[in-house]
Amino acid sequence: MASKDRKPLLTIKGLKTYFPVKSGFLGKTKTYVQAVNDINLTIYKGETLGLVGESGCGKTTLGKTILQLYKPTEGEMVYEFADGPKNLEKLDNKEMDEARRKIQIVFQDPQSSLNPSFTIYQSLSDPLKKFGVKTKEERRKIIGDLLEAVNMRREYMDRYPHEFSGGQRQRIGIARALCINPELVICDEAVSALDVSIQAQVLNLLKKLKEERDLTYIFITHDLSVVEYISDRIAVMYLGRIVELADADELYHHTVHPYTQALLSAIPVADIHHKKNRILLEGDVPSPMSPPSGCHFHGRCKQCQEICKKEKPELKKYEINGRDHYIACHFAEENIRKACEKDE
Amino acid sequence: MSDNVVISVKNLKTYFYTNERCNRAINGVSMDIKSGQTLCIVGESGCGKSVTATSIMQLLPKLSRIEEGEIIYHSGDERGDIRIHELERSSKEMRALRGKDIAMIFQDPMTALNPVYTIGWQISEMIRSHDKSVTKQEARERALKLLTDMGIPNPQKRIDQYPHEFSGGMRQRAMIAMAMSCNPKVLIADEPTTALDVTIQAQIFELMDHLKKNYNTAIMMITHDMGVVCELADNVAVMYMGNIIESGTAEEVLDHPTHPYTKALLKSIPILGKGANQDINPIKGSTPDPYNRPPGCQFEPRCDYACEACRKGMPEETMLGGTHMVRCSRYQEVMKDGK
Repeated sequence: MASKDRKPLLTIKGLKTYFPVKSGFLGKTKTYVQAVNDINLTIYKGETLGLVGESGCGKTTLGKTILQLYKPTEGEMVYEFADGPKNLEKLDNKEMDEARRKIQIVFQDPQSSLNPSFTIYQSLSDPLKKFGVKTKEERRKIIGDLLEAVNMRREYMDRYPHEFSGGQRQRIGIARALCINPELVICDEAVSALDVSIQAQVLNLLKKLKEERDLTYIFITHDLSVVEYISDRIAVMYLGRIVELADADELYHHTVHPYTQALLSAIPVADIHHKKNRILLEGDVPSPMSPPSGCHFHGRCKQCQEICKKEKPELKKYEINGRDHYIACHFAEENIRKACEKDE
Repeated sequence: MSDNVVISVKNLKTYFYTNERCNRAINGVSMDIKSGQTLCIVGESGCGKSVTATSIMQLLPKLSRIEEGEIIYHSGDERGDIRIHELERSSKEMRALRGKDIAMIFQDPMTALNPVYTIGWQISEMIRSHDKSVTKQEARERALKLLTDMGIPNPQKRIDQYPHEFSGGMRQRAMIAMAMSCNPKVLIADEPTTALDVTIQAQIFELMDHLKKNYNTAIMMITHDMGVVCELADNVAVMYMGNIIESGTAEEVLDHPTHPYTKALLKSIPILGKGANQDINPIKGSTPDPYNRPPGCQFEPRCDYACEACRKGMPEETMLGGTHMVRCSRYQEVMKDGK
């Protein structure tokens, strides 16, 4: 996709989501868990944005904040509706309904996101009713078509969730998200709970549906091999901030941020001839309740200098061979030079 | 048989009995665990890889039983060969063996550690229960040394802390410290890094490599991740529905997969660095219901090579020279088609 003629679908500016931590007898708020900490991000129409990071880095919180399931503490999210851009937080009820129709989510665990006492038809028909599909015949037709689109049989709509396997349930979860024709689908660890052979089925299905229905995905996962396969662009998060953002192949070929480098090197690759050059990080991810000063990664970073402990690096735009690459690191330029040396 | 085999499992069959139905969870598994080497058992959920491990440890639930086959531990000292399958689950002999000679680490270290005792106490208890002559003070010193060896920062302080004060990766290190406390010959690791982040996982792998090299421990590693297998394994056994369908050294199995399932499994995972243009091919269908298994080869309904002969019975083990074993009636064609 050419970078110039992309249309932004969702623009996130300075987004922060904090959760209060209450303690003591009267439940006074003592500190905050800084789950999402100043995120700037633009999601373009028709792209798949991969959001990766370790557990606790705030990737799911970001997804749920976009859905308005969590209230952001600060910042704004502007979504392009048919009649112009609007701030997602300042919508009236009617507009909010419209936003909910346009933004949908596929959860990690399909077992707990389907009501066990409803048949698939009952689960999927409620949103259709709400959004104006009046007759039962029509609803059954739409749901039947959807089930066929996710490679399942039409008759399955009268069965209960427990009758399906994990992979099938996840496909129902996808069908549920798609039944009211959303524009933006947030896939929150949508394939993580599945066995590898099933995972491939669901990944290919998601790719196919995107082409057919002109969808935009935000694909949240901790698995970098999966995200590289499915995404156009990848954003790497660490402790609530984006540390690196680039096109998927660009991120792999020119890995600039020390955290991304370590993350990529730590992934076991299913190829026995793959050169192993593990960069070991020391220690654990710090608590988001009291993140380190300056650059959040400084305690585990080999390049750490005085400046890293004091100043927070901003996510800045660089160009590597004419392609955009966003990096939040004080030593970005030096690292870009090193990354490019490998090309020659 | 070479000298360094520590545990040999022969034609093991473990069945589960529930609701008057029988699940043949493991149906004829044979393997050797060798000292100083890592054997990776890989397979999807429900294929019986954990049951194999718990059979060796005699930690099976009450509803299950080892029906056939043998598990022999070659102790290498005056006790000679110990036939584990003949021991009672809670017998004195088994309890002496468990933890001392064969230790196990589990997927979730939080449920495996006791939340109401300190880490140091739990490790000392392990040491003292296997060797009564060790004093409390000595046990504590050994625990401290173990924690230091396993790379836990600030062990003097950590030894008196409770499991909840440890992070996930650190808990797993403490678990490994506890498992290694009696210098076991065999370490069975059941998905030890599945619950951990990749950067922490890399730390644990480094530690396990260190154990293998410095203590000559035999490691049996259970995983579902082909990537982990490529990183760690000397030997690989691929399981599907209660059978080992292919085994051999890592190069043999991963470079020249000869069973259609191994081949399909390797093709279904995206490989880092190949980007969006790689083809990943899902395996058609899903794993069969364990109570309603296919009559012949378990993989037959999902296999591209399936033929009449496959429906009749599970193919026998075929040795392809050296250590490479495959259970497929049409392996020659699979081999010809290449990777």
